[in-house]
Amino acid sequence: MLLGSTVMPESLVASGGATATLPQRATVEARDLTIEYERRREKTRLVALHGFTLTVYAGEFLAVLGPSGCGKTTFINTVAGLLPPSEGTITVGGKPIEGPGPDRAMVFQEYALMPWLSAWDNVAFGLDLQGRLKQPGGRDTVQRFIELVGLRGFERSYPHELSGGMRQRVGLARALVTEPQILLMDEPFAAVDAMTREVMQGELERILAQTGQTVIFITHSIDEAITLGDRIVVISSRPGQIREIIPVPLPRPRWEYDTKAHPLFVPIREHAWGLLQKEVQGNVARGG
Amino acid sequence: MARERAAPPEPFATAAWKRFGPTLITLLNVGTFFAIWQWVVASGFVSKLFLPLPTDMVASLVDLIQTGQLWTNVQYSLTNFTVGFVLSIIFGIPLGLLMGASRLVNRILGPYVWALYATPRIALVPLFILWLGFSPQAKIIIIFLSGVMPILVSSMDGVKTVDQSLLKAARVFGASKRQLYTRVVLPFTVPFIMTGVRQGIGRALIGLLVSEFFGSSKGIGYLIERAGQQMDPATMFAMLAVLVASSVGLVALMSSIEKRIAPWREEVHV
Ligand SMILES: Nc1ncnc2c1ncn2[C@@H]1O[C@H](COP(=O)(O)OP(=O)(O)OP(=O)(O)O)[C@@H](O)[C@H]1O
Ligand SMILES: [Mg+2]
Repeated sequence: MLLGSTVMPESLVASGGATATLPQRATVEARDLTIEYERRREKTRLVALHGFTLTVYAGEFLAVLGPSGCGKTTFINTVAGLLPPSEGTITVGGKPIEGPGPDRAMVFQEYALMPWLSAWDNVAFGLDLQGRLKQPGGRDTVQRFIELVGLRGFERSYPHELSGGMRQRVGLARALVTEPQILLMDEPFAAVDAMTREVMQGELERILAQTGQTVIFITHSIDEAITLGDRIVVISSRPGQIREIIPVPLPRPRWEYDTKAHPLFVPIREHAWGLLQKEVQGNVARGG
Repeated sequence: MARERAAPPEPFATAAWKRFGPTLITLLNVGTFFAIWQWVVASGFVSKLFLPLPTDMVASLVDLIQTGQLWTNVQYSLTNFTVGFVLSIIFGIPLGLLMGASRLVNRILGPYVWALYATPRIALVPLFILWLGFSPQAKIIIIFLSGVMPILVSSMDGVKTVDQSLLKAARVFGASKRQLYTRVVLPFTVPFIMTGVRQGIGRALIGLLVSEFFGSSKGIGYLIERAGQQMDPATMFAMLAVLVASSVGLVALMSSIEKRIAPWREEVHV
């Protein structure tokens, strides 16, 4: 498919901030966030994030890139309400995050499915915990999402009987079925093969086009970040800070065309690559 | 499990063979075993004082059954075993779960549990006989102490090794503290508990026999011990056979319960 858009000048691609086309209502706001871990054995504290300031806009797809160990998972866990900030503030919809809530759901890299539950029961897990499965229509909702992610016929299979890609579909459905406003995804497609990954990226975009959720999506793949993201946040090596925010003005729906053939793809890719390389080199040089 | 194989085909791939083959093989196998045994003893290679004739063994067994001795003694052992082992389960599982979940409980109970775990239980047998005489209570306590340890330790290990990512997932989806235990920790621990119970059966059987070897006037262990004293290998072997059969039965029962309770467990064939 031919696109009418013109090639963006490099300077615009490289400049931070959201593009004008994005909805500008903030949902997650981190201000000067510091997250530290207690290291019991070393008797020291490890600063994972420091002076981390970021605004996530409602309805946007925010891709997060950064060298290994820079604090991406730490950040997403904080948004999920699993880690309290050591310093600074983090809010969702204006309210400080005090713990997990039904407005947020997560898809895990390592799937984190309950091995003793069938695919159906795993998908229903969150809904059940929140007491919503027994409400009218609860079970139908589960079935609807099972079908949405293409798991019909595997409802009764246990996780160990499913392929990696299918397990991640279960993980995705488990998060989607609770109908959260914010979907947190920590390298969800890292463990599946390239083909499955592409298919799942397309499916994810299609699903999100219907639901309009905000997504924070961690990935190690620059291509994936461009294919999916409205913006890409590049995080510096530890302690993690925002290095740069790259807007990705590729038109949607992107599953309808080959994003890699879009004239903006390569410039964005090169730019992100350059940033990451500097961070990784710095990281290695400091022995971290 | 599905197996894909092109060639060569099974040599006796008829329906009848598939149906009765395994049973036939087992019968032939065991039959040959006893035939060789009979022959070895009958031909005088091995003294009948060491190894009875299988036919004598069967005769002894029939005799034990006819005189009613078998049933009274088996019943006595079985009752003690059941009471002792049920107590092992009743105490072992909750205590193990509590010790795994709570550092405080672990601190308090840990020293006693590990002391008891490390001590060979047989050393305590004379103590219980001193306290309780040759009563069923003494035997039940010995069986209980033998059986409870693996159950307790296994349950505790189960709780301690709960997959962190599963707990994290449950928390993200809004699990309360209570739900973390009922929805994640407990189901995760079920296979561990099962393993503990299976090991516990073995230990409790040892406890049963030991308690009966040390001066008892009833029970399977007593019959075996008395047969040894009386130089009656036929009875001894007959009782050993009864013991083997009951142990195998118990373990098989356990496996079938396990399959029912934990059907998600991946079966591994190495
Ligand atoms: N529970 C913990 N206790 C102590 N240190 C931790 C803990 N979790 C993470 N860290 C440290 O915090 C830093 C950031 O970890 P984090 O998992 O957020 O990195 P990441 O960016 O997600 O890395 P990756 O891309 O490899 O997943 C790392 O240096 C890590 O060692
Ligand atoms: Mg990570």
